[in-house]
Amino acid sequence: MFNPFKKTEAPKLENIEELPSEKPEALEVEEKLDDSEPIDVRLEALTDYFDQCEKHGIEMTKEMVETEIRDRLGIEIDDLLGEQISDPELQLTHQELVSRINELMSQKAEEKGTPLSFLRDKFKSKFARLAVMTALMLLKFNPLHAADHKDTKENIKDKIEHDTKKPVNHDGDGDKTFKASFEDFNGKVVISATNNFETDKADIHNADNLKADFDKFLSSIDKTNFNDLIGQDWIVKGSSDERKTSRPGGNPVLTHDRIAAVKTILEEALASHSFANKLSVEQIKQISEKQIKEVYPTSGAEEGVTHLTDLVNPITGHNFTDAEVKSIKESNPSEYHKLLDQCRYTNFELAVKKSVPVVEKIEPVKPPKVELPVKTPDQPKIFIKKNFDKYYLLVDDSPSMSGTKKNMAKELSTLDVDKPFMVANFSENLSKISYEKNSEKAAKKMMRMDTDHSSSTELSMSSAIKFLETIEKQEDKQIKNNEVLPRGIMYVATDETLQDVNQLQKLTELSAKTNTEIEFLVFYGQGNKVLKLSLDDIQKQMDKNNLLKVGNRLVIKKLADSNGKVIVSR
Amino acid sequence: MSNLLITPILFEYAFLDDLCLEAANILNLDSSKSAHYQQFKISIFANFNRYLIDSISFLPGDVVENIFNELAPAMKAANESQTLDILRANLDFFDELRIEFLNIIKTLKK
Repeated sequence: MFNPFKKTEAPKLENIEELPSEKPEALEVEEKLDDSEPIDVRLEALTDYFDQCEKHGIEMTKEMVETEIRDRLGIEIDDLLGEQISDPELQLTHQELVSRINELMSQKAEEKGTPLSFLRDKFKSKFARLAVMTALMLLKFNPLHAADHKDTKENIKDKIEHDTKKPVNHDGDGDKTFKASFEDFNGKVVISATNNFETDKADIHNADNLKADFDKFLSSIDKTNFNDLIGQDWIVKGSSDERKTSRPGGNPVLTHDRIAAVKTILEEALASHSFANKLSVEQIKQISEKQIKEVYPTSGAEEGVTHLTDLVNPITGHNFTDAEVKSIKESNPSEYHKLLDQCRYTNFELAVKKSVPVVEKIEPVKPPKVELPVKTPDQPKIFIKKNFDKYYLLVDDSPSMSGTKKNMAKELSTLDVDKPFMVANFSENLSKISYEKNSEKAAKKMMRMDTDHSSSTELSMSSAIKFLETIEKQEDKQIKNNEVLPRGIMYVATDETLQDVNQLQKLTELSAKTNTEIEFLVFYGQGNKVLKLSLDDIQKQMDKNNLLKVGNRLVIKKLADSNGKVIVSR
Repeated sequence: MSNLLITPILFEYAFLDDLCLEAANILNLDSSKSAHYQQFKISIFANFNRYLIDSISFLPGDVVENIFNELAPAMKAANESQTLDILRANLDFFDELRIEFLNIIKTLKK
């Protein structure tokens, strides 16, 4: 059993250099970590040991790695992870998950014709290190670890809240790096100091860079634009997001203190800036007396705080509701954090007239821009064809599709198609079909659609059949009279491989009967990318025998993108 | 080596938080119960790592070597652009793993 308090030994890394590399087993351990050393210290010592071995060209064998971990941590490598699940409600789920993963991997190894143990052994030493790293990270989440450091319950609570309030910066490690930026857009000058603060703190860091940005702005002021700028309000505008802070006095105090910190820097910069030769004496007097005002939210439930429900939902055109916020928080954490980012800022702002040319020329002083991969979905893909009489939208209602649903809704809201839309969710079953007058209303419906957590199977093809059977019933008379039905198009959106494809023939017949073109949209890559499949495309997959039998159903085994890269597999 | 894979996947991409929330949604677990949810995160973290390691072992040897041998020095040298290029090249692979992992979670649903 994993015992974080177990007495163990630490490597004496200094000795490694003296040892012949061909006999690493001979490493002597002369120092021991006592019982008081927490598990993370021992794990880090083990990591250092691995690093030293690598540095000295010592190739760790499987046996060496296993021995080191067993001796130093008192646990088998395969048990290193997951032994900290003490919650009785979760133990069973955890063990079951371990078992399912092992089953799946054994099955894959069997398909590959190579024993799993062999595959695992091939990179054992490197994977073992990876496991150790993971264990280190695990400790950061583990309340037991906090106890290990003799933290009080309150401290642990504070720590959790502190961590959750840490700014999510999509530009990288923003809370540690100077990020003040100077922007000129739509007649507004903004110098953002939002990321100059540590979590829950109001001590500004990289103040010199912020001052340099402001100096840049001040240097742009001359006689030609003075009157336009001096007459405007110069403000430092701040807000905290709604999450709790450990700062005494709460968010209102945090907001105020941050504004004050920025204001102080700017006032000092203004006082020390030289306007000589650029402004008249009277103008210099005026600008040196210019007051910088403080602005913060006052109308909400908490002064100095912008709540998520204060923001406008771009889809509905109204403020986010509590239910929408809850849904976003649960189903799309990235989006949730982006919304929080909108609520948390400390900026210098100045509205200027567009006619002030010199201000528009001001170049921002920014740190080198590093393009970081942001897990936010791209702009919605154009997936809806026009010129149809009716539109049918079927969307997989699993939680992983929530971001995609939003993207589809965004696109729908921009289409301006004044044709009837029928919208439904599906999992194992097709939900109730909703009838909407146009694309805008269909978009709103899509945003409101629930996510189903109870189903484990998404039967896209069966659901499409049920949907078209409904259409068939509705249009029964016209079909019997051989009348040409209004031309419809059905989109079936999912992020799983296609299931129940043995019913393709039936779907093809219904497609013809109801005069409906059908397109399956398989989303992948965090919902940014989509693979479009017509019924013909699916038939081709079947012809290639790219199929797998699951119970009495046939599913497409693997779907690949245009480059042949597998994107979804069963 | 200390940042290899784990940091970028689980933190830079908010991968872990998203994965845990999605898994919690599937299993109807209350993510607002802090201690309980922390334990759940540990379970998901541990199992995903185990699953990730096994999945990597199925890749061709040269790909594995790339992941281990290119990424580690790039991260150690704090070469952000190179690190990110390598990560981007493997991002789809991690997305595929995420989807399959969540499918496994779905099979736990009673």
